[in-house]
Amino acid sequence: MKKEQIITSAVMLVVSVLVLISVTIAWYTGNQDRPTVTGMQMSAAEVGEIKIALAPGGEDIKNLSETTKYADTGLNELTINIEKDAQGNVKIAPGTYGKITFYVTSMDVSVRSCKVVPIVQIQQTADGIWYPVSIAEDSGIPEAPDGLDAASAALLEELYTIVHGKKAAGVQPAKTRHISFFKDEAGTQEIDEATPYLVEWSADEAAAKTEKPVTIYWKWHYEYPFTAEETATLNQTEKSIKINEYDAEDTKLGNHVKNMRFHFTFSTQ
Amino acid sequence: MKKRNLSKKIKMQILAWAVVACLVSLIGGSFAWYTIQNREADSKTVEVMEPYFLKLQNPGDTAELQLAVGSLFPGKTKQVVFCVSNKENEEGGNVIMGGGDFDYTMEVIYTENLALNYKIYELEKVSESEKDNPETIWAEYSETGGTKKVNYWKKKTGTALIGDDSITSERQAQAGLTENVSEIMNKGKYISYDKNTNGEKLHLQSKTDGYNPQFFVMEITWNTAVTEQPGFSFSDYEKETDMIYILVKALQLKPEKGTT
Repeated sequence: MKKEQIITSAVMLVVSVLVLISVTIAWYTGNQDRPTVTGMQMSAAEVGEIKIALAPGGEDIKNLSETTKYADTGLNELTINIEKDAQGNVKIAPGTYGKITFYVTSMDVSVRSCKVVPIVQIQQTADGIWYPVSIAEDSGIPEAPDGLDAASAALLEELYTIVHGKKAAGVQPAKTRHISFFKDEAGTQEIDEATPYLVEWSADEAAAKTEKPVTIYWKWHYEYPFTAEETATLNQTEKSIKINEYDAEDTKLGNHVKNMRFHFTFSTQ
Repeated sequence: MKKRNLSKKIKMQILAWAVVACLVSLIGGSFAWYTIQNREADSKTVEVMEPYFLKLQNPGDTAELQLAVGSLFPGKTKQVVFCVSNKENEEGGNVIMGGGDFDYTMEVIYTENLALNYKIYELEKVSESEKDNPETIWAEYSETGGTKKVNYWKKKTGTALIGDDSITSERQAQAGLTENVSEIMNKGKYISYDKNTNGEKLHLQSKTDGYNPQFFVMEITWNTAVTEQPGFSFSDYEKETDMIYILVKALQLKPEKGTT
């Protein structure tokens, strides 16, 4: 009996240790930014949740209807040198700019920060698919959806790289980014996958379910956005080449993309 | 030593614990998954503006203009017909988007070896029945298949477009002429046109149920103020040539906020 008991105990010990290890790992992966552990919460639906609204104190967008759940782009504030579509809304074009505001609330004291990353999704035809479906990891380029022939897939990826300024496979050097996102109106603090917009709540704010506005400014650069260094070092011919290249890319975008929208991913820790 | 199997009761206990352990691990693992939540939101869908599409075409609007003037004999007038068109944009044989409905400017650049006058008139099409009318202007062009055809026009008004040559110095600077420009003998004159004879801006409409090309004729004549001077001789200019460029461009202006 004693031997059996030892074996049993040993097995139970090993099993308990394994369980403890896995739960600890699970806990710590979820607790990267939080120094204090407030206790185990087993209800998955409540943990890590935020409310995203389009107006102060408004309803969460997941509860809004198809016609009201999309954020305004600020395009209609532009009145000069613009073109309007059949519904009277300003079309997006090189040189246009605007801002998008969400009102984000932490719905749980354990949710103390949220990263927001914007991308531009494109649609080649009115009923076509929105590309990309999900955000690209790191600085890679999302794969084209299945079912497209090689030329169409390559075009789609090229359009993505023009908008987001990445390097398409085999393209040297990286293309200039055409549509940029910023934290400030002046356009000095750029937002991208590497430097997302970070909204944070203090412990008190999280407990009080404080709503925080998240305003992201966007701009489609009218002309090649010369950096200060380029302005100083390039000669007239080199500058003309860059301007013409940029304009040709803009024309390609305008010729192949029917619609655009801004897509935001909110990740809580 | 006698080998003893674990009793059934013990086995059941171990099994139960193992199941519990798996369950807890699974929940622990799922717990880790749910703590990093992703939510997504979209802005409204916006339509992309089509780029302006503007082409300088031959008199039949079938192909790009090949500007060739040839010789201009004394007392003669050369008429070069060209077309400014919003023809559909093609890329690799496929029609892609290309919009119209914009103002454009026309520029004519020419060197001044010969004492010539350049005038641009707006044209409107007339039928072949008018071909014997002395006022009718005709021009030949090649269709896409290669067949040669002729179109006929008459001038809309007797007044030429009014050009502005004040852009000359700006263009010369852009061309990189940095030295003392006045010492360069033959540097080209730049004339820009942005209004038609009605005083309205040169404008190209969107293609509706047909193209809306605009036709112009460039009339080149000898400048009589020079040629009728005593001592002037055409034979002095027998081997002289000038270069002529026609340019059309439409600039999409930068969108802004504010009132008009």
